[in-house]
This record gives sequence, C-alpha cells and structure tokens, in this order.
Amino acid sequence: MKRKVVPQNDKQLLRRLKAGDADALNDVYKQYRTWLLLVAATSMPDIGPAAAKAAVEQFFIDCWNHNLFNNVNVPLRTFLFASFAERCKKQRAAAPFVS
Amino acid sequence: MKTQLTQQQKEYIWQLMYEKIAGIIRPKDLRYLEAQLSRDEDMREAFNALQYALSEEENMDLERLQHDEDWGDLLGVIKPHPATRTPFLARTRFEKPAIAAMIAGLLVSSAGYYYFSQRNAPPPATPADASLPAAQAVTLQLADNRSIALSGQQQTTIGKVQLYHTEQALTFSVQENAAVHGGQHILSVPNARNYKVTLADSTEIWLNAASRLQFPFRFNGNSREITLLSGEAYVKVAANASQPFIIHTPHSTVQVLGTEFNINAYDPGVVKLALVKGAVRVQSGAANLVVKPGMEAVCTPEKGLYAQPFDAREALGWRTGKHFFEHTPMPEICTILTRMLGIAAVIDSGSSASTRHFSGMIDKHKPVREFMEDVKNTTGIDYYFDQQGVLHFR
Repeated sequence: MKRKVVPQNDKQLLRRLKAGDADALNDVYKQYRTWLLLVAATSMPDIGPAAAKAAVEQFFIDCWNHNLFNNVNVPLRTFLFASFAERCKKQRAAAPFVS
Repeated sequence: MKTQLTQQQKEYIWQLMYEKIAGIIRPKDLRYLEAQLSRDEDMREAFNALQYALSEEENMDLERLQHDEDWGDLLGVIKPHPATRTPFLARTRFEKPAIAAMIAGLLVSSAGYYYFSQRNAPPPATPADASLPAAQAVTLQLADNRSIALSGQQQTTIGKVQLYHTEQALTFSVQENAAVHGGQHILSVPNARNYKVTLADSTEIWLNAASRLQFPFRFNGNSREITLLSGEAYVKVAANASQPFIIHTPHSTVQVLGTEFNINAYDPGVVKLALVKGAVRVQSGAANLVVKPGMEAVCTPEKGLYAQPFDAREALGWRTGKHFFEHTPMPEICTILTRMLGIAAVIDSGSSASTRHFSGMIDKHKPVREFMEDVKNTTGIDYYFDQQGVLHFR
C-alpha cells in the first residue's frame, strides 16, 4: 500500500492550515513527516524509531490543537523545522541521565 | 577570507541538509546548500556526520518510512481531542552522544523563539463534528491491577519499565538485564479510538475501537504469546524464528511465522484472520489451517474453521477510518456506529428499520450526518438525534 505523495505548494498549504482545513494538516503531515523523523532520530538517538515517530505525530497534533499555524509568518518548512528541532532539543535536555 | 555564517544561516543550512537527505529539497535550495557546503568546512563535516549518523540508524529506511500504515492516522485523533499540553520526556542512554549533541547544539540554539510565543494560551480545539462526544481514554491495566490512563503525551516509570505514550501510541522499554516477570497487562481501547502498541520484540499492533489486548513487557520463554481478549487488531510481527509468535483469542490460537495480518474477534464466538503477508497457522480446538496471503481464515461455532478470499477494503478499511457495509442488518450497524464513533444508536420500537439492511460505507473523518443521509436516501429510514445525543432510526 505504498502511496505516492504529490508534493504541494507550501504557501497554499499554509493558507489552508490557517483556514482550519484538516485535510491540509494531513497533507502536510504526509509530505513532511519523514523529513522530521530524521530530525527526531538524530537529535534524540536513543528513543528508538517507534517513539521518534510518535513524537513527530504528536508535534503535528499539537500544532493543530494549539492553532500554532495561525501565527506563522515564515515559510512553512522553516516553521516546521525550527519548532520541531526546538522541541526535540527540549526533550533531550529533559531526559534523565542514565549511564 | 572565510565569511562567518550567522546562526540563522546555519540553521537554514541544517534544515536544507535534512531536506536533501529526505529527498524533498527544492532545486534552488539544493544549489544554495551545495554552494555553502563547498565554502564552509565545518558545515561540510557536519553534513557528512549527519549522513553517517542516519546510515547507522537501522530503522531509518526511507523507503519503508513512506508507507502509510507505519504511521498513525492523524485525522482520527485531531478532531475530538482538546489540547493537553504535557511535557514529553525522552529517555536517553547517550550511546551516540557526540553526533546528537553536535546536531542539537548547532541546530536549534536560537531556533523557535520567534514561533512559539509563550504569551498565547492555546485555544481549545473545536470538534469538527459537534454531534460526536469526546472519546474516553485508552487504559493500561497492569498485572497488579493498577490502571493507567494513557492520555496526553507522557513518560511513566513502572519499576524497571519505562512507558512512553501519546494519544495514539504506546511504546515501552525495559532496563537491560533487569528481571521482569512475564506478568500480563491489558490494554483497553474504548469506543471511537484506535491505538497502536509496539511490543518488546518490536512487533507492532494497531488496535481498533473497543478492543482489549493482553501482553507482557518482556517475552520470556520459548515463544512470544499475547491474547486478543476482544475486538480487532492489525498485527505486524517482528521476525524471530527461535521464538514463534502466538496470538490467542477466546476461540482460536494463531501461530505466526513472520507476517502481517488483521484479526477480528468482535462477534462473539467468531474469529476472522485476514492475511496480508507471510504465513500463519490458525488453530481452533482440534482443527488447524495454514493460511496464505489474500486469504482469510474464519472460525464460527456453526461452520468450524475454513478459509476464503477476503476484500482488503472491507477487512482493512478501519485502519483508514472507513467501514464497509454489505447488506448489513440495521441493528448491527447501530453496534458498529457506537464502536466507531462513540455515540449511542438505537432503533425506535415499532420501526421497520430493525429488519432492514444497508450497503455502503462510513468514513469516521466525515460528519456522521453524511452517512445518515446516505442511509436515508437509499433505504428511506429517517433518523434524528435526541437531546442526550443518542441517534435514533425511525
């Protein structure tokens, strides 16, 4: 069931997200989740692939639930990358040190 | 003379590096990235380190990650849930500290400040379909009878076991060499929810609404055994020839030989196993049957155990929030609506609906009224919601 993701224009996607279009969220999610998973995997290397995926999923859900897209005035990718990387960094910093 | 990159430029270059590796970089950005990498030795080294780190990640196979079914269904969770903002704690053993620290340091030292403005309190999410009630929490009942609600995004420590859970998935890890007895825990998914759990052996299980799964935190012994107490699950078993995987249901036992399949035990006494990949042996009482991909093993009290071809849309549709009805009695549709959407549905007494059937499809991501209109248009059965939000057919 491999599905070809048709790339979509970031500006249009962002406009639809601001309008509260849930399908746009799903499109953004499908288009960019692999990319952000790489960020999660490298900045939190020990949480494992399943937890990394869950972190990416939760990031999109939180952005949606907290209406974060409404305040975005930078390119969509810049927003996704910077916010998600920041979140990974915080999670990493909050992790207990286990040797 | 070498020009110094600003922090913001560095961040942008990091973003583009990941874009390049993920294969989504735009041609213009690729030219910019290549120009910067050829100019700046530090960034070039960082890029090589990043590529190396990702090639080391065994589970980061890009091809595989594009598959839809490996990812949670976002549309299924964003509607009914108001935001719960719980800090997510990540476990870290620092086995690969150098690259991670380097990336984290370079990447995000100043990022984020202009996006997450702390002043704005998050407004509650509005459910798209106001007629649907908020779904209940998924719970994990431990072997010692303690019960944990798996809501929000959290880390919970239970003895030597760390649980990580979100609104749609549970994973856990057991401290190495820690003695964990094979106690059985029960994961319960309420109506209107789907949930994924990754077991100790990396086997992935997606549970449909109103399902209960019993599993241990670690598979001791010669086999990996779990029990689907009720409901429906899609299972992707991690291959391990030395420890066969066995799923018990109330009426059968499935022995798995490395595979993907859907198992449905909603109807009392009936088990249906639709095999997508690999091979399984289904056992019920004395009878047993080896199933091939594309076939479904069915076990009923009347007919015993037999195999038949299955329709992938019907058997697997729930994973994308769809349910297909084929000449389904209306009372059964009421049961399915309750399970899928978490709404009570009844047939008014004296209505002819109790003996009628419906064929068609419901998509849980669309307003329920769309489905009700389909039913009305094809069968003439009218509907209404009462003040308690109960759906009535009349």
